[in-house]
Amino acid sequence: MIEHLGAALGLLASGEVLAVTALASVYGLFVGAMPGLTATMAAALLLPFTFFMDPLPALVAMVTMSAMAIFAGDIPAALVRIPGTPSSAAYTDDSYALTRQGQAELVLGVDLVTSAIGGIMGAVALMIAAPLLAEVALRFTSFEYFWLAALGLSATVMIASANPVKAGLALLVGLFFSTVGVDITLGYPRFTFGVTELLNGLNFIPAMIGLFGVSEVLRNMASAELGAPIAAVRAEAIFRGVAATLWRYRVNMARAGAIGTFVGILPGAGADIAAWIAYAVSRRCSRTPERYGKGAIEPIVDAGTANNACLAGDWVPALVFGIPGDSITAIVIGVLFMKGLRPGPMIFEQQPALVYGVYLAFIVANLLMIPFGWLAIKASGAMLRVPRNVLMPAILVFCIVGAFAINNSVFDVGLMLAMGIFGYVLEVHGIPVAPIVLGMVLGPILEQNFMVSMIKTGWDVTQFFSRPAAAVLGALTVATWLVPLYPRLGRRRAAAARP
Amino acid sequence: MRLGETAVGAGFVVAGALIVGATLSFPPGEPGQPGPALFPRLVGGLMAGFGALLAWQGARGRPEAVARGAWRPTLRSPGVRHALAVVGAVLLYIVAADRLGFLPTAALILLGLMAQLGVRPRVAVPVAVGFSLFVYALFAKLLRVPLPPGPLGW
Repeated sequence: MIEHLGAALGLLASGEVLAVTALASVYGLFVGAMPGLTATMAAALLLPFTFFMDPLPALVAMVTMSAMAIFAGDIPAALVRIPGTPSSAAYTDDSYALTRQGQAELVLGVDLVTSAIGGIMGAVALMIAAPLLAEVALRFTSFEYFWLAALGLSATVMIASANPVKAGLALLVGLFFSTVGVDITLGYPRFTFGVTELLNGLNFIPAMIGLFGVSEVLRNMASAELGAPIAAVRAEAIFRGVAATLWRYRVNMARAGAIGTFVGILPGAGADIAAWIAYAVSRRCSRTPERYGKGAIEPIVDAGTANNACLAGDWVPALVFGIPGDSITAIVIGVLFMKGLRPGPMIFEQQPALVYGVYLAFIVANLLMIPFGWLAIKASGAMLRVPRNVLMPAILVFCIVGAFAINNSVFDVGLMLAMGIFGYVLEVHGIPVAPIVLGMVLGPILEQNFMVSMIKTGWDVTQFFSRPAAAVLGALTVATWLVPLYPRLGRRRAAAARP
Repeated sequence: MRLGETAVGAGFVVAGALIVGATLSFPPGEPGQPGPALFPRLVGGLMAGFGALLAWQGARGRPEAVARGAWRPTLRSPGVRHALAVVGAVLLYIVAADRLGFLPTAALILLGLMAQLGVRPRVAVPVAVGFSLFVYALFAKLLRVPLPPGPLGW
């Protein structure tokens, strides 16, 4: 382990990786702090750059960017009452109420430090859980992988969404997209309509840029301007009183770190869900639940810790099984495949430096968050005043070039546009876009492992339950579908759905 | 143009049925075994089923989850014109990039969109020129992507 850590540290200290870390930090902080731009969009726009990078810097960029973006989402929540990313939505009202009471510095200080601590807690959990699970996963066969993919899909629909029917439809759209191209059993071209560009399937990068980049540009341009006044903040004073507050709520932080990591490990549920659940648990355990929503610092500690802890948790299933923990890690799995790397238990043996590099990148990103985040808070006034009507055209040009750059093909630009319009129309009708990417990544895993299992056993379906591990995963999948029958969980989900 | 849940659900029923219909012409797998058609057929079937569920939810008048983003359903609202401008900008790139070259096309797109969004020329022109050059330098020089050259070579 020590030699792997050393090797990874050596790789991280290279000039290229350091430059990537710094740029990804600034990029993540900016996108996270801009209301309307999400961390998933940031990941999609990062894709064309990762295409030209080595695997390690590509993963470091994703890790650093997402950690910074999830923290930075707290800044506009506190200063203009608009969460920068959905992950800060849970405690936006409390943050802004405190700002109105003249405590913006304390809120942002707590946001920053809990984000860093939560992120490190998640990273430690990732370092412990991933290798242990990888040992178990080494014994998994196509039956277990089939169930894991099915479990991921089920969790996305049943746990991580406000309306399971709409999330299910989005997921099915993603699964359908994943069937485009040559099929694995006979090599038959499915849904290609004679278009050569579609034989290898829908090109992942233009599709992601369309679904998450173009659709958000469309949404931002179609909706009203950000007219709210921006509260002033004295960056020098943000750390005053933070230590005392955090010490007072140390139990909350530990609990929220555990909740965030667990939600992260759950396939399909991301940092926004983690924040809502941590908020709900915090209110239930608090001595002053009546103050929640009216300017309490306690839920900010909880939810602010949980959403960043979740990020590293999301990487556990992604690295160990190749099953994404959320939409960002779904994009990361796309990056790994692009680099010819197959996430799964073998990656721990074949690419230890890469895995340890990811661990360390999480630690480094969360340590760097303190100085970089402080600078972002200092620059928040200027950042939030960047005019949207200049920013959106610039993002669109970035989307176009990014989609074009992968194959130098105008076809991909057209695909991006089609996906962008489609994603926008879905969102207008309340159908979430994130499950589409999970469907696109999980679809081939589901189908391949099913087909391989069936061909291996001569179409004996009972085999899916006869291996103990497969039976447990199968039972878990079935249990996920019964979630609406548990009223308490249903209520929690309803609370989580309240944007 | 926000449609009701019933209409959206019905749309997915049709889409699911079309997917299943398309799989009927797929070749069968090994004798007696479903091949390439199995998975898409399942997806199409489920899509039609979920679509029907959504239509039923809509018909039952279940309160809808609030859609993100404000959407005003008038075709003449600036929102719709802005959205159409975005679509037009991408189409312009597809049609014109090869003929004009990357830099002029990108600058045109930026200028057009910023004009549509009411940015004053004093700001829009330098931003359009500067940002196009920045993206060109980033992709063409740093990442060595062969961007469309156009008649003037850039």
